[in-house]
Parts: sequence; structure tokens; C-alpha cells
Amino acid sequence: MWIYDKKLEYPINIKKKDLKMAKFLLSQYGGPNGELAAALRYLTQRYTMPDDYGKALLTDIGTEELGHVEMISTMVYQLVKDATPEELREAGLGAYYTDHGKSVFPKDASGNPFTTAYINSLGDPLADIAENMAAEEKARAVYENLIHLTDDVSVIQPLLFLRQREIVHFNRFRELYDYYVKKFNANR
Amino acid sequence: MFSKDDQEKMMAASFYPLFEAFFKGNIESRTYEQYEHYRPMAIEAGNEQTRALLRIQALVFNLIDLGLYLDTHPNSNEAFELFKKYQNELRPLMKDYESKYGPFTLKSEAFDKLPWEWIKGPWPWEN
Repeated sequence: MWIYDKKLEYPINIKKKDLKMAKFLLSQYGGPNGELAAALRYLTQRYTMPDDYGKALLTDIGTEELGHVEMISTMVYQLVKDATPEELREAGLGAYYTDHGKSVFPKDASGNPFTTAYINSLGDPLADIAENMAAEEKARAVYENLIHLTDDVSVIQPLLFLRQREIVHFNRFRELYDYYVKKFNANR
Repeated sequence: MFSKDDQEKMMAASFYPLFEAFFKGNIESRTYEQYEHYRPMAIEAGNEQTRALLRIQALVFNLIDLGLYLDTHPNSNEAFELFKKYQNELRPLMKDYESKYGPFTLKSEAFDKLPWEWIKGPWPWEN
């Protein structure tokens, strides 16, 4: 089970409204390389991991990704909360406002809603863990793109933190992958 | 992991101090990657509550990252010693914080009066 812990993994305190940045950031909630996809991917794959190492790592990283969903959602919320409908419209968020108001809804930066087509689970440990290594690298690259799109330090700092977490997760997945290659005598 | 290779990696393990690990988002100096010219900055606490919360967040973060490290290095004494040290440091700080500012979880020992304190903000996404 999960129990709610009433704090963020890393503090977020954004004072300056920035609707365009909010629109870009939304992709790390509901986009193809976003945190929601990551959490669902790992928490789906964990059931068919072949041993306790895989079950533990996917449970723990999947759980942390849920905390990252909360961080990204918090950033979008704080960037948007003081906006008027007029400002949202000017920032290209008129259609978003029509359907969602100022709620934080899982979509990508172009407005496509979240889909489970973003997650893969083959039930094969080598395929699944290799998938996850790629997913972490893609999310890292998206965070780097996002960092280039703002000069607000209160946005950049949490993005640097989240980018670094992708690197850590990649390293842990790589260790697990190398171990499974040996365990299953895969010749690669 | 898990065998002689692991022993060698364990010898090379070197963990950042508590807040440096937290601000960098990585406990392990061996794998930390700075991005271009961007440097993680120390977070300034505005008041007593945020200072106390920041230390708790730093400890919880270090426990999370040490936990992931131990998942793939289950015989690392170095990581385990640090894990236990941070757990011991966290316990009284949580108790003190929750008694002053309210519970983090429903498992908290700080529920001692009505009205029901759980609903009291600010919630984590509010600033």
C-alpha cells in the first residue's frame, strides 16, 4: 500500500507567474517521458521481475516517481495560480482553460492527453530494464531542454534536482541490467 | 552488484554530506553529473518551520537515495551505517516538528486533539 506523506521530496517555492513555462513543464507530468508514465511503467513491471532485486528496485523507484509527479504538478500549479483567463489565452492556454480551468491535468506540451501508450511492460526483465534505462535518459534530456527555456532560478533548481534523479535511477537500472545479463547468461 | 565486482564498487563508494547530497539530488560523488554551467544552490530557509522542514526533507532524501543504493549494493556497510545514522537523527526531529506544526502521515504520534489537524494547510503544493 501507499500512505501520503504531507511534504515534497524537494522544496518548491515559485513566486513569478510564467504561463508558457507551465505549458512546457506540463509535459513532465502527462507527456511521453513524464513522471506519471515513469511511475506507472515501474509499478506495472515490478510484479513480473524474476527476483527480489528487481521487485525492490522497481517498487522503490516507482514510488519516488510518484513524488516527482507531485513536484512537477506543484511547479505548474504555482506558475499558473495567479493568471487571469485573458493571460492564459494570450499564452496559448485558452483551449486548456476551457477544458480544465486552472487544474493540473496530465497532458504533454502540445496538449495531447496522457496515454498508457507511453508505458511499456513486456514481462521480460532484460527488455523491461533496458526500456527503463532509455526512459531515464529521455527524461534527463527533457529536463535539460526545460532548463534552457527559463531563467527563473526557483524553476531551474528543482529541474536540476529532477534531472539528477534521472541519472541516479539510470545508474541503478544499469546495475540491475548488468546483473540480469549475467544471471540469465545472456551473451551481450 | 552482489559479488566481487560489488566489493570493488563498495570500496570506491563515497557519499556526500547530508545537505550537499540533497541540494545535488545525488548521494554519490562518483556518479554526480553537473549540467553545463548550472550549479545547485543551497536552499535558504525563511523561518524556523521551514528550517526544521528542510532538515527533515534532507534526511528523508538521503534515506531514499541510500535505499536505492542498497537495493543494488545489499552488502555495503558504508551505505548501511549512514542509513542507520540518518534514521536515528530523523526520528526525534520528526516528532518535534509534528508536535509543533502537525502530522506528516496518519501514522504520526502527533494526533492528540480536535479539531482534526490533518486537514490544516498549507498543503505541500502551496507557498
